[in-house]
Amino acid sequence: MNVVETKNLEKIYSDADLEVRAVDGVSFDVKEGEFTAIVGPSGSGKTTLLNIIGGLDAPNYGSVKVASQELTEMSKSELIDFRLHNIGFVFQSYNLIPVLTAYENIEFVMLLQNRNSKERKERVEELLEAVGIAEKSNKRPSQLSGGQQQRVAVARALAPKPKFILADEPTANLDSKSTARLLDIMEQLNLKEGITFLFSTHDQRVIDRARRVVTLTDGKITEDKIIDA
Amino acid sequence: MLFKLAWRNIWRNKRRTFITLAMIQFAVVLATFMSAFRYGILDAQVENVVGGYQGYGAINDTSFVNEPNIENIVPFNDSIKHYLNEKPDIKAYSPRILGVGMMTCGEKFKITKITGIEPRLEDSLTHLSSFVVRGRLMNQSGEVVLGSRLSKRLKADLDSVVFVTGMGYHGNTANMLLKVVGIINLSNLEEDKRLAFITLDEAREGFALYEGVNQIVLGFNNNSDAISIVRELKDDFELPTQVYSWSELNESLYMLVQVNDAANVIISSILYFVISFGLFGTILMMLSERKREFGMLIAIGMKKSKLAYVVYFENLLMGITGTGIGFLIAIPLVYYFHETPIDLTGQMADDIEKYGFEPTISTSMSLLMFLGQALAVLSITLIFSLYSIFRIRSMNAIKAMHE
Repeated sequence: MNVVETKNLEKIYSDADLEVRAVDGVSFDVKEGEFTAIVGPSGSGKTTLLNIIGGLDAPNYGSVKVASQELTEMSKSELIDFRLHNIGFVFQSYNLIPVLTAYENIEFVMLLQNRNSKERKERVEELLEAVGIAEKSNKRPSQLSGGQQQRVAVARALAPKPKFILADEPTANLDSKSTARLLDIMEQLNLKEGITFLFSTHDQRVIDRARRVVTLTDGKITEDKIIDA
Repeated sequence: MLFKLAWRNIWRNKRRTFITLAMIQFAVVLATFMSAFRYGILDAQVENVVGGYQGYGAINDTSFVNEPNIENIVPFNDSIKHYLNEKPDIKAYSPRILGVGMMTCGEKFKITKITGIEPRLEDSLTHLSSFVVRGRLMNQSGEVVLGSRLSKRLKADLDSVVFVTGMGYHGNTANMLLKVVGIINLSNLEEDKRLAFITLDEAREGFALYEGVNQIVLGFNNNSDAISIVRELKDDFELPTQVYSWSELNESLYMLVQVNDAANVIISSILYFVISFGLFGTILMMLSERKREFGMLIAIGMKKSKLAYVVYFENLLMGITGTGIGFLIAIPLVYYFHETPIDLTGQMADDIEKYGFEPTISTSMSLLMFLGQALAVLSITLIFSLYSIFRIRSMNAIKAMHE
């Protein structure tokens, strides 16, 4: 079953006399349980494509469906609600709420979903355990290392039980050890729990772990490769 | 959690929070303190002139307002006494005969306002007995009570005998020989220099005014509402008898009150304007500092309305805390100057005395004044905080995260 379906996506940024096609006729699907990396050099349109799939940006042309729902037909308010329930985000610079602890950062998204406290508690503890950060649950982001913060960000993305996780350059700010640890965790979540991951990256360490690599060049898909396990 | 988030956000930048709180507190204290002094001075002036002798309202002949002389009289009979006793807003009343005469004591003389009163009724209205510094109020014909400055001028003391000669009703000559039984100290210094009180019966005989009185002065249960109460009472009278409020009887003082009110609004507005800029700067700084975070929150699915609510709630908490602390600082400060008025000296004191006011300034302890200033500062905080709602609602998550 396809989690993401895009058809002829185009995103054009135009200035006074300059037109840039950041995404140029992209059509591709992401199936449930995939561990996919979108790769390409800087400026190839990876982040723009991810933003469109994540409902953060709108294409000029084309269609994008997530969980069979057409995002281009949704209002801004509907998109916010859709993101909350269907898409988990992991950002390059972690983007945790600095005044909340690791536990509270993970719980926060479920609070926005109006989940009850018992359900929230069970889910947060389960996720803290899954990303190996249970002992740091009462620490605020400033008291955690970059790798630890990114693991909290992954747990936060998973908290609302989304259809898939969008991760924009998740390892860009991490050292090798933290990167390896984070990838181990994400891989385990993918293999054991079937969680779909879609990364944008140009980090070879991430590409090496991906089981599908979609290459983007100048806004177009130039290669779509399934890696055998 | 949203409350927790708002509360922690307030303290994420302690220095900025303390500066904002200090600014709000300072604004409340300064605005309250300034208003307390302005209203305090004004209250004292009105109370000196109106509460001390003139009265917050009076029933006069219409001609009396422009020509306050003994010829203009109003009836003071059982019917009007019944009316005054039955009106719930009227707390006290005092009939007066107002004559003018030359008062002589030995070789000293002075043009004096001779006021004929019923001591019991006058005392219930103006608490005249509380101003007696020596002797007592008169209780029978042939007795007089003098203002302290008048007594000094005449070199008259208790048991002195003074002679009054003047014009009575309908051209009669008024001659009275009176014994000084009391000296009073009126807070209105001009009145203290020229007022003498005799009984109503003595005044009737002396001025040959056997029917009616020149004025029935009124006191109300709530003197601050005197103007509106009098407006409602006007229909009960038939011309030429009419009821007047202190603002109509003393237009110059009323104008002074209005000018003072306007000045207060202008000064407060300037202060609020300055405060507004400070607050707006703080809000802009906060929005700029947290733009990336706001973008992230919208991206992960936090509704803009909820985010705006959290940020507005932070400002509300700061506004209430700052205003509350400012309020607590202002109360004892204002109370101190209310209990310990500042005595003016030199030329300024002389000038003020010339207008009949006491040369002291103190603060008003009016609850409305306190609440008014606190609410004004709180309102400014909340109105400017609306800008944060506007900014959040128009925010683009991607742009915000990349700035």
